[in-house]
Amino acid sequence: MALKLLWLQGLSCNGNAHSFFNVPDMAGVLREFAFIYHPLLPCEATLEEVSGGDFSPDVLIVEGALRRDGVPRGDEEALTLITRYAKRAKWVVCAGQCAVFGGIFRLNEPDKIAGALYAGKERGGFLDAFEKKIINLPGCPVHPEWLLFTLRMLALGTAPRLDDLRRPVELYGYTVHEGCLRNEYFEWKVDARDFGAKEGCLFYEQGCRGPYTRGSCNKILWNGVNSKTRAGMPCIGCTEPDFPAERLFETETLMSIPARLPLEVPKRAYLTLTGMAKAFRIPRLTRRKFGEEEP
Amino acid sequence: MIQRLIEHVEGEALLRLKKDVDGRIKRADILFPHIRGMEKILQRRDALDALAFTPRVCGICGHAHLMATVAALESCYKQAGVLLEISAKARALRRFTLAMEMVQNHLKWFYLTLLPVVMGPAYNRDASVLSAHTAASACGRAVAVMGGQWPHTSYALPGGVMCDPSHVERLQALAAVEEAGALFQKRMGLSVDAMAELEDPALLWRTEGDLALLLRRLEALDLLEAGQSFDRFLVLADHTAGPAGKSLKTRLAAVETAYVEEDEPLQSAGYANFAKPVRYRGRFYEVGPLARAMVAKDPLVRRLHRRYRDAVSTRIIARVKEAAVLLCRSAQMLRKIDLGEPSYIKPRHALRELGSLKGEGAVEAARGSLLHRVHLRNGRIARYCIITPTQWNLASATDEPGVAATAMVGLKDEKAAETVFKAFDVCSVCTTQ
Repeated sequence: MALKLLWLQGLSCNGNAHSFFNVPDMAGVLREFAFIYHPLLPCEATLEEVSGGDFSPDVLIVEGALRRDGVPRGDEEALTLITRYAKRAKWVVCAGQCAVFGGIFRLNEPDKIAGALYAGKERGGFLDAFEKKIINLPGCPVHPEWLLFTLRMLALGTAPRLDDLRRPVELYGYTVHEGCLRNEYFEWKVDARDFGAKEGCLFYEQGCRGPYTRGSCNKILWNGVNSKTRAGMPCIGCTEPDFPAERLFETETLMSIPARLPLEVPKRAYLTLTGMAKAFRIPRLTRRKFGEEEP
Repeated sequence: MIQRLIEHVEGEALLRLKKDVDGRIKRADILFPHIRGMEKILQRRDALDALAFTPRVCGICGHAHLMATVAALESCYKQAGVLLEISAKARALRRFTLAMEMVQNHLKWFYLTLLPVVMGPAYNRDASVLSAHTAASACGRAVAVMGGQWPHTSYALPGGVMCDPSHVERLQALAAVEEAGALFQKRMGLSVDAMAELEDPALLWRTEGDLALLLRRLEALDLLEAGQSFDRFLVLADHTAGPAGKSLKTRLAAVETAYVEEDEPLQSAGYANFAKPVRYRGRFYEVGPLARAMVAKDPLVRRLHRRYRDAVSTRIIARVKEAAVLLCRSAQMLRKIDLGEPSYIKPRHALRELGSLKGEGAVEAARGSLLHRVHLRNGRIARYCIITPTQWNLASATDEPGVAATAMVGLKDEKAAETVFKAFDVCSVCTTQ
């Protein structure tokens, strides 16, 4: 029997629904899952029917930030609708930053808008009563394959193992930095001179948050081919509770040391290693990759 | 009064229809009940942070918002008298990724929004989803090859782009364009090149493909001529398939963004509505693929227009044709890029060194002209204003019905109204950011 999914939205840009539409295997999705409602895909019921009805989803997928009122969906408030189906569902999967932490839209009214369990870094979400059923998949948007992995695990009858923020450890046990093609430049502390180059690490000047942001963006690539940091865009930390930080495209420094260091790396260790690395000049890492002239 | 929730339009919209004694639609109010406050959220933020914020206005056309932000910030430099150098390569890459987002939008709209409403139960659900998926995920991959991911990359910034593609990436992106093109040919019954060059509408009806199927169905429903509105078209920015301009019926003229003005949302008793109407010199205009085709004097669309004016059939064909034109031109553009040029040329000053600045950026997004207006003070955002295509097409003023509301007047029933409504390719989330 196909797992029955119900996809409901709070305050949202639809980005998670569109992101999910990039799963590599849509035929598999159509075969393995039955959508009671989804904002893009053909589904069993209309939103009006969902709002008036009493369907029994196996998994409720929540997209978007939550607010007590002022977010009508069908004939009722989004939160009323979502709460009603959270009671009925076996699992509640929060797809994307907004549903997990409140995301960007929370900034509009930080004391009124929140995610399912969290309001930014603090507890105080709207679905606390269902904590044990909740699986958090932060990211702006959610990675399509992270969501598909989670749903497939649930279809097998096994919940993925979760960390203390209820994120699957097999997805969020990595930092975004792991697997980045620029790692060698990081090791030898060769910074990117500027945007627009495949050479150099973006951690020192361009604001890359990859070394302290959790997520497997550089393990399970985006759209099957790439990641922001591989392409040349700094990680903006969109899976973290403090997203969005200020001044995303420059590195905050304290006495020319990045103010935030890689996850759990003590400052002394960082200074020792970078001091050593900087003492050596690795010619290969100071040239352009394909030996071309500087433009 | 008939009230109908229209779903699957990037969120929902509420349609309130009043009928005359013959049962025909006399008045249509379109209401968008959600607001997220992006313009307010941007206040006091660092100007460059807008690059990460505005794509999050919309999950399907966020890339256009990124490009509008870049254009608005670059125009701030211009106002400050700081000359920015942008390489031809960076400009071409921006246009390429934007075009890819437009194509994924058009084909998703065709297969996920339009076919279901026009064909009713007479269409193959799974085949439609898989067609939309093949095309849209190939286009998303093309953006990701350059920008790292789709949706929600912020890989463009004042001065250029952040990526540095080699021939490997160029060929990966070209393969994705080819894949989307192959899907188009398989499902629509003619190649993207043939579609891009097509001039004779009769040939369209004779092809064996999903577009012809849909047109025949519209014909059977007597809807080919439905949905005519003001017959005024606006294109605020140059784009891959043509120039900026406006077209009053077929009479062309230049445009000036200074004439674009927002008004207060239509009030409708007992229901919230946040869609601000927008006018050009006090008049409503249609934006989007039909407008672009009219301004670009596209021969196929002009011929259809002679027969059906700005009806639903002209609107639909213009959009499908635009997908083909964009796929052809994007591939050509990508092949021509000189990869040895710089991707990014750092502006000589940071925005925070330049005091008080005003800028504006117009971009042609999938659904039409998108305008961002920004006011900076010492590199921070004092005011940010976003005017989206769906506002142009869907929002009514209290004293005057807008483009879509006018297009629905005189229709025979709610089903016809929903078809006309969805043919505009509505984006609820953008309308009320």
